[in-house]
Amino acid sequence: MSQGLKTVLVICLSVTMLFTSGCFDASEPDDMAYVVALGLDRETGGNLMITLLLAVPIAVGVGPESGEIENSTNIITVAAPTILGGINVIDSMISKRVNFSHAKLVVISKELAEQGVEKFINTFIRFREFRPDTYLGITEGSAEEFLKLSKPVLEYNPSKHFELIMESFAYTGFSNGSTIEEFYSKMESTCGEPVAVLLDISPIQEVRDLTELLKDFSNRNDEVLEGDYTAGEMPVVYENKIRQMGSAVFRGDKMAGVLTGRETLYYLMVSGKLGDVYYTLPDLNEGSGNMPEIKDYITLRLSQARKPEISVTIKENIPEVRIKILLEGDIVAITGRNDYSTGDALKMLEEHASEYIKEKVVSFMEKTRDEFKSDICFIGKHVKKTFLFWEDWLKFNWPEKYEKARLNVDLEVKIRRPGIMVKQIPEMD
Amino acid sequence: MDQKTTIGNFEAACILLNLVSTKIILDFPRTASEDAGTAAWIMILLDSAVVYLLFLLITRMYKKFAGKDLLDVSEKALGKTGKTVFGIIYLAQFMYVTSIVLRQFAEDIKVISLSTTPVSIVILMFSAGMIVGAWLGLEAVSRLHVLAVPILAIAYILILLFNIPRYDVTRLSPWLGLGVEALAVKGVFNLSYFSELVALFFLMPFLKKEKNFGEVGRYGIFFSGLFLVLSTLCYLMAYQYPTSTEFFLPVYQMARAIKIGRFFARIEAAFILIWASCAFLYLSSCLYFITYIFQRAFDLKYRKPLIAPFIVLIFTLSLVPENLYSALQAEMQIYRIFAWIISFIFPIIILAIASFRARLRSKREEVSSQ
Amino acid sequence: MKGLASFLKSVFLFKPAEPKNPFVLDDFENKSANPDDGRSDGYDGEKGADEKDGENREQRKSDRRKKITKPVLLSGNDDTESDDNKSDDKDEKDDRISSSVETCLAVIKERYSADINADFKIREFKVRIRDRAYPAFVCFFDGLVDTSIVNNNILVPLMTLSVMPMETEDRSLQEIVNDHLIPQNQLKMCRSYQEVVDEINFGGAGIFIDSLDVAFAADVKGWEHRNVEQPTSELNIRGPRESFIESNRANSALLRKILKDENLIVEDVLVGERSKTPCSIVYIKTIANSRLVDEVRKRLKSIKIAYLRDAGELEQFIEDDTFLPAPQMLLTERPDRVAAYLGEGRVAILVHGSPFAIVVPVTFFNLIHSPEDYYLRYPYSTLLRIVRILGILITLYLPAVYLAITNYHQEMLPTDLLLAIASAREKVPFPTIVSILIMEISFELIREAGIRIPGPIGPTLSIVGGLILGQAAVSANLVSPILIIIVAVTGIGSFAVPDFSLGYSFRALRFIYILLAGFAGLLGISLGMFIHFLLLINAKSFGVPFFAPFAPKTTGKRTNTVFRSPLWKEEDRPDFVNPKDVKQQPFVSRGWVVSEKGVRTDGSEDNDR
Repeated sequence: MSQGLKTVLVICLSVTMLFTSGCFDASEPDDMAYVVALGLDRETGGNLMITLLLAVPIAVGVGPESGEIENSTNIITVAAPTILGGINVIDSMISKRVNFSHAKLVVISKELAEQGVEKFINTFIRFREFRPDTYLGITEGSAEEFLKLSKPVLEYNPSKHFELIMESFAYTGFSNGSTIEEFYSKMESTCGEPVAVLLDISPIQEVRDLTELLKDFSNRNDEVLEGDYTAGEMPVVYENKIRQMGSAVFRGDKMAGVLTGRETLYYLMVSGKLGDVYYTLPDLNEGSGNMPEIKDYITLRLSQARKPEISVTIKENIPEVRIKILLEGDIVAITGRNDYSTGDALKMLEEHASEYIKEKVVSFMEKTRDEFKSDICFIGKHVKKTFLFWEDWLKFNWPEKYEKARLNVDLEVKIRRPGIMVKQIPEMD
Repeated sequence: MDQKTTIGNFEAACILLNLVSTKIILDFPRTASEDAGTAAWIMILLDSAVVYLLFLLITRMYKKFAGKDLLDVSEKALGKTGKTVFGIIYLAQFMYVTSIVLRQFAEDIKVISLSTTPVSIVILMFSAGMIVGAWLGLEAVSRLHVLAVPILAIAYILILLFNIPRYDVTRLSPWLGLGVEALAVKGVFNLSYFSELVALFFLMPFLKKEKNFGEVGRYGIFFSGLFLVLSTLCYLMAYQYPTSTEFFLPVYQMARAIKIGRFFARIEAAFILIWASCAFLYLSSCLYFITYIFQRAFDLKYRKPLIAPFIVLIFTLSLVPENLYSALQAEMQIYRIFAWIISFIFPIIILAIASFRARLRSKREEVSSQ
Repeated sequence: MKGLASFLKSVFLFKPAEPKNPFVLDDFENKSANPDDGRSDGYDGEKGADEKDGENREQRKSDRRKKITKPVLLSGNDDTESDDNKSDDKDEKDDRISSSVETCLAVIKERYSADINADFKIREFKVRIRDRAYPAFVCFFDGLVDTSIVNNNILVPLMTLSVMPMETEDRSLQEIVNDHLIPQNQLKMCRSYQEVVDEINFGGAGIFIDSLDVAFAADVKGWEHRNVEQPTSELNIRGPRESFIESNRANSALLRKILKDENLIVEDVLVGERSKTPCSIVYIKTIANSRLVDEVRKRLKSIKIAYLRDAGELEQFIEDDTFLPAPQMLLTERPDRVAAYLGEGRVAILVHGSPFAIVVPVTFFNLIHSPEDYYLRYPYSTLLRIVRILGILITLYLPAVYLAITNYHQEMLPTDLLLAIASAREKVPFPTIVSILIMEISFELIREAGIRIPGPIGPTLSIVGGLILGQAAVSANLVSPILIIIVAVTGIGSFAVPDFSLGYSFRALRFIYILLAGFAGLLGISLGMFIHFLLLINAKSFGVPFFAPFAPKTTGKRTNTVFRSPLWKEEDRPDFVNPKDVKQQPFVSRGWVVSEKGVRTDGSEDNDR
């Protein structure tokens, strides 16, 4: 038999093999339902309530004339003992197949978090479709409410909407952008504890309802600057009712407490993850000018000049922690009549800022040590480096030691630029 | 058969580099960190050094037999039966490794992307590549290595580089991990990670200048050791110790986590290309070695007809483990316990016996000529 | 039954390959006695084993052709169908020209079937020498000859000049005629009819004079041919714009115009028994590897076919591997390109009747160079090469990668893009692979049809086909708009491939990649890449590995492969061609830099900027 015929035979056989086995895994992109966000609640009977927020591609993309489909998302809730069991149930009733590979956010309700999130996190890590950079959020109320009320207003694309909200920590400092993989890694770590993003729904419908909230604020001892509240207490009126501010602090896999937005800012400072944030500082001098009851503020744009230097020494089983933070900032606004742009005034401002922020950082650290008893700033890793053997480190048991730690913070703020004004001359009376 | 195929030094070094480094993209960083905790990179560093020294020793002993491959030397040492026996031993080693690795690759691809396709179809696809590679012979395969291995190496380094924001040196502490005894004991077993280097001794007759094999081996060991250490180091810096033993495809995990801006975030499917290319290169060179060893061990005239039965054998062997991953892991652990003996100790023994007999023979000739 | 048994046997049993002796182009020129390290001796001399094998194969091939194309015998005197050897022998004895001009006339008339052949002209006249008039005749093909030359340089002198006084005493008639009476620059004295006939067939005029037993054949070619025009397939902005035409001599003249070198050899070989197409092997004697030239000559001389029409046909007869999806020699229309390759030590083959010249040996990287690369400045040509490589990657892989990603690896797309694609696909009834195949096939149809559409409609239809058909397909929801973009970009990328033949191979392979991607996603594509590259790497072009200088790492500098280096740095000829003289320029090729930039000439430091 000639060579040519042999080749033809081989080709025919391989082609038929190709076609009889078929393409098993091919799935058209429009046969899938892409989940944008996943919510988990616990219902009273013990089942999980799984809420899926699905994207509707024809409202988002090229397709027919936009406006035909109002909502760019669809929400669906199912009760089942496990997440993937619930997904199975959903798959049997909707027209497409659920696909998690573009899920941007996982929302877990607070009561579920307080009972321990380990079982869910394990599913998220093990199941291939979840990406490691999916954000993890804890909501004070119910996750289903949260997802139901989320409505992308400034864009069509719901996944972009969530992603951009979550990424805002880089320039606001009020949340921590923690992802599933980070959370899992920190949860399993022996030298630190995880945090998650704190979310909530706002009950405020109009500006009138704001006044109630603000009255609560004025009843507090300290001044309430921006960010000194958690997600549910944000004084904002907006069409989209979901809110993000603060952090949920965990101890192991159980939720231990919440941090306000500002405290999250200090958390970012100590961890070295601060981006570029606007920070309001009360003015050093008392209210100048005609209206003394209206306080004056200085707005700085803060960022991390260098990573914080943390050193720990152990004296008689009590860790002495020394944290050195160096921040740098620009002056963005001065509302008072005093000009701090240059010279000695600038130095005074720097000292005042350093003192003020340092106090706040110390109180934040003490809160983590006393109230939450969890080392979310990963001070433990600086202790771990002094060890040689793994068993010794495990025997040392850092989380216990952290509860007794003595914390010292050195903080310095250097103001680099005064904005585009070198001088601010107040108006003449 | 009439023509003598030759390959250059760079080609041989690339073949060695690929043979040893392919395990990085399978599960090597994970098993290394399981063995030695946070000190896995130290263990691998020491292992590379030990292998280097062993190789220097072997080079010394091999000088007398330059240009002959290991089976010829074993024939000189123990006669024809020695050649057959050692041929079968190395054949078994290569077949074991090939079938296990083939199954691992197929399973891994199934988990990463092609979940519904039956394992046999995926293995069949890999086999198609293997057959073509082994059929076209060593020259074509080695030239493809020259083209592909630098690109794959650069792509791998890029994956490591893009992960830099996630590295944290303190994750390498406590520095000596699970203890020095554990390091030492496990370190000896982990010499098996370099067991594919024995392919160099079979490549010997193909090298252009026989004395260059020392250079080829040294470069091969240096670079593969470098890659192994780098991969373990970076993996441990990205994932702390107990968690690092959990992921089944470490490099895939690292590639998944690359995120530079919102757009450049999901490139791990490009990783499949790197991965599949490494697989094809590795498997086809292994199949070539299998058929080559069999041909040389039994002094057969033709090599190409051996491809068909061996591919069927390997296919069947790779489908043997039922329980997927745990069984594969267990078998790999068993293999790792004694592979280093086969790859390093046996050649030393063979060379020692052969040189001893050669010296005896020359002495006898001296005596008889007097 | 027996046929089936032997068929099954041949499928399942291994048949060892016959011992082959393929041509390997190695560096025997610059090495002394010892053979190349381990490499085989590729060339055994005239009667090696493969020679016979090759000849047998060629013989069988040409026999098969002969069986099909054997013409009906017209008359009994047809000896030209039988073997060359036999007819040669016959001619030697029986074909001598007779002294009687009537016999010659009769033989010529018979040979040429002059009563049927309308364009075969015979002019009888008388030559007057030494007071005697010899009857003579001249014969030629009307249309093949320049009649004014026949008139002025053959008829006029023979008919009139012979009366002029000249030294005629002791000289033979043929000497007188040869030396004085035919002032034509190419004149050949022929002793046999076949020689004259061969000359007449290719634009010569045969002159028979009574009482001479030789005839003269004058080369008076002058037929209608195309002028030297711009190349049609290799356009450029910079650089010369001449292209080869269909005449062999004119083409070699174009080459000699560029390489004014006396070592430039143009060897003629006749290929084809009916067509007797003159092919020329062109090389520079002092540079080209002589074994390469011998191999080319051997392959050309061993071809036994009836007609050779074009260089493309010749390429298929002398290439190493017929089924490889890539060409193994370069066909080009431009003399400047051929001259550059000749200067590197390669060999060119010109075929009469074809405006394409064949250049051997060639590597894959040469096929992706364009002629313009050397006429542009270094930064631009580097950028152009990058763009071209991108074009090649796009044309080969883009539809397959798109298919793999959208069907298997949706998580690789950014979410926004994925939702856009999903929404665009909502209304399309076909699966992605089917719509890709539909669009690709229609694109190929448009390309193929566009060549044959007459006149001004041609280019318009391509544009019309592309735009309107694509738009209509999208509006009718047959394909998604993203697919139109992909297919269009792929098509444009395929035009970026400089070599026509290689572009075809990519067009064909693209479909295989699409099928593989539809079957197994990116794994299928990597399987395809692996096998494709293995086949290409294994290929040889006239003994030179196809991926030299990368695949076997040759020792020379690798300058002009993917990227080129500045012209003053290219000191060596490509090493894999194994030329006789590797250095083509000295280390300092611009003399002025020594004084102006302070460059040392000893070659020790490479700061020649």
